[in-house]
Amino acid sequence: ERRRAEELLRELTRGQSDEKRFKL
Amino acid sequence: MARRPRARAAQSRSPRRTLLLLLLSVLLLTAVFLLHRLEIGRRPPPGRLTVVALDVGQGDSFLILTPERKAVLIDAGPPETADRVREALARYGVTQLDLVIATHPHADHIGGMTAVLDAIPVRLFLDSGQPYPTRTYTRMLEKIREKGIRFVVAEAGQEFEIGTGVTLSILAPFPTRLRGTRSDENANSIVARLQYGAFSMLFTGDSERETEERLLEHDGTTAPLQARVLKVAHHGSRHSTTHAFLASVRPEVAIISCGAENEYGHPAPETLDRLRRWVRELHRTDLEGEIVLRTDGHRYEIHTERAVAAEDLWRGRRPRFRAEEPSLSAPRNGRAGSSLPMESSREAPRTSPARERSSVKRGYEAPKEQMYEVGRGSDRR
Repeated sequence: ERRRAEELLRELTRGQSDEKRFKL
Repeated sequence: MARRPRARAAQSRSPRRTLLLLLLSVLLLTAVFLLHRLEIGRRPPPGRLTVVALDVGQGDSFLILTPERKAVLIDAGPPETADRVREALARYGVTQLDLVIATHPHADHIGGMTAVLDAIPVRLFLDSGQPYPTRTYTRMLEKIREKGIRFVVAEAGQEFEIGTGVTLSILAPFPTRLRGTRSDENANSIVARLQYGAFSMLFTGDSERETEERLLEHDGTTAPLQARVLKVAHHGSRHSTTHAFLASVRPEVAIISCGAENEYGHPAPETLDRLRRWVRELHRTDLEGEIVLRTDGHRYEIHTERAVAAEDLWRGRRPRFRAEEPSLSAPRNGRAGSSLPMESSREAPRTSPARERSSVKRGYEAPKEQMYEVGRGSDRR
């Protein structure tokens, strides 16, 4: 289950920048 | 002699007048109470920010509604009250969540998340990024992937502008995660500070003592810790909310989200003792139900689903089972393992007698409603 969580987190954060400010 | 019949007439009118006055008082109180109850679940009035502590039993779920009708959900309670969260979102007229935050991956905070993601569109999901080995957590991540929701791992220094004038600053977790604590999942909770004008509120997830220590080390490097309203960490557990932390936050009001009849000792009498030195108002979902805070950015008012005597609000719980371990306060000999469900502080009150009296009195008032001005009470500290 831990490996599954790691895989999913990796997949979901792929290409994520180090952006600090988010305008919603 | 002529006076006597008049006196008799006055006497006969007196009970009628008393009865009429009593009836009018009851009607007035009922009207005020009903108006107060209408605040619960009412869609936010324009120009005001609303924060709702949902009553999800033993867990956390907070809804923030901005003046521009943007919506943020911080945690979604345990699996068994998922319907309550969805129902509350509908009641407050939320058709889209602009931001959803899972402070950490324990089920009492994310148990209702999958149901929420199924029910309503979400623009951005902020997670603590801890690969926790439970099906509740992996199911939530799968749902985020399935829905194609933008996913961000939280880190101190991030800032979310939620429309005009409303900011949510992330104070934790830090890039170097805490390890070797009582619960690393709790210790690496997302801590967020909400700012709207002169109003501020700190959301602490299930922070541990180590989280608070690190926040104090970094106080001011991102957003300040100081906040007028504090969401008390970890349902009021005795393992967080230290004096040093409270001295930095300096809250006026504390809100605790926990379950009625919970057996975990939430909130702990020791924590309430510590809070009592700082806050003038305490609110609890286990006793008061849903709690609604509204602010125009200067003043704020708090409405609760049920009115509860202040002396009951300050009564903590002992856990049903307790392993021997030190708490943040001096140990109480003979208390470990006891199964006292509720316990008032046995220590002498640390607040001034005048403050004690006023808070107890206020607790008995119906409706339970307070209005604060910016700067009020600052002379107290």
